[in-house]
Amino acid sequence: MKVIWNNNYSTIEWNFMKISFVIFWLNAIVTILSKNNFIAMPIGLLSFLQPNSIIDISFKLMCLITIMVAIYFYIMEKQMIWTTLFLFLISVLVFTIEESNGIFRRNELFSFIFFSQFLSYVFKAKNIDSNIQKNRVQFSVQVIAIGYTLSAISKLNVSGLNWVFDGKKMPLQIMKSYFYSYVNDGNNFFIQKGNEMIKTFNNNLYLVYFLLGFSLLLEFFAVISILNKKISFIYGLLLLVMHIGIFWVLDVAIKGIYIPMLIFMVNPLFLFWIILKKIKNTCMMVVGYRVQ
Amino acid sequence: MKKVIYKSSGFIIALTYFIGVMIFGEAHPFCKFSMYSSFADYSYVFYFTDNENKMIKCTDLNTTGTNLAHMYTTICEKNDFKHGHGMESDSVLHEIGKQMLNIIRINNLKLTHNNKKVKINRMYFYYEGKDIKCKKQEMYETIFK
Repeated sequence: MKVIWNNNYSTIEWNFMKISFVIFWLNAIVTILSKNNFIAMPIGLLSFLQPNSIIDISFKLMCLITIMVAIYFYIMEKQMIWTTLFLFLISVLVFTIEESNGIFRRNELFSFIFFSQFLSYVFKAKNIDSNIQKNRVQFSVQVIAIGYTLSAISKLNVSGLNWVFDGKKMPLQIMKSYFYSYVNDGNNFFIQKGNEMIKTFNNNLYLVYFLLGFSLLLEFFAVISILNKKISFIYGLLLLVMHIGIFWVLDVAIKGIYIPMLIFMVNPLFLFWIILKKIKNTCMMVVGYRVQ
Repeated sequence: MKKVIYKSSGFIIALTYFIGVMIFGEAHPFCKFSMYSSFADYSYVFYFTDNENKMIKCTDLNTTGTNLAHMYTTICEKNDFKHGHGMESDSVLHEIGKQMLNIIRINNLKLTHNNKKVKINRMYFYYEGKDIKCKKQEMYETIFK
């Protein structure tokens, strides 16, 4: 338990975070490069391009090769200032390609986490703050936490506290979400499930208000998760419960948000490794006892 | 200066991101994460059909219902089309559908729907009293070449 419940980040924890993070990031990048052949409505970094600019196969290959090299350097902890800076820039470029086709998957945290890690290595190199073990993770947590807080601020800014009670209009959003799933693969099951969910929703309106209010508070105060690792871990679990609830009701799971949160606040791969190690030790003890 | 940065290192990244969002707004890597910041009393869902009016799954055309909804909003904003609550005229819907199918077509050059008729349609969900109603509208059709 002490291995998990402390306020220091070990190298092994960092390695598990890096590996899981880069796997999900690479998956998103490869998907975008394989599904987008041109830039329809250039925005952000690509706004200097003409609409309908073609992304050719040589560009995609060049991107993938350099990304694979950078990932090798990242995992092996080599040239981290340049590596994280490169990963940040390529991440911004590729995600902007997708956004320039009108698709917004909210992958901003993925990109900015690389930038925060870049800053942690710069701080170390410039002797500003040499606690790299902590900073490279805590800086990433800062990006995630402010993302949630900004989300709560947006809700308060657009709807005010009425956001909680506007929840009574949610059945239409529930229907929309389940129809999205229906048009994706043509399975009528989703329409049926959506209708059932709306019935459940209408029968438990006060519970819905409570859960929406709780989610809003949780998001608003997410910045406190930057205080230390223990708080971050507990907060990560609470946010996970919130995401499961959103998925259950709305059939919505935004990977670009919950995956970085899970990795840097809960670190499930590390927890899984600890459990495996425990099981292995227990088995060895049992076998050793029997041999004696 | 170094001391100030050192003392603020516990929150400096969060602050930087916050300031970045205030300055740049919604430009990657900055984002306000304003999804579901209000619960609209209408919704659009887009879907494809073939020449026999049978539904073509979005996954067959390398996209998703969510992506189509994002694409619709972006095209409206880029073209200054007023949108929402079913206010779009048939000609505006036709133009948006044309642009949406153009993006889908170019991103699907190697798929099986080549030389087939593809139609994009919209479902408009809205409240009538406490009931949810749905209005289906054809937007645009083309042959994928």
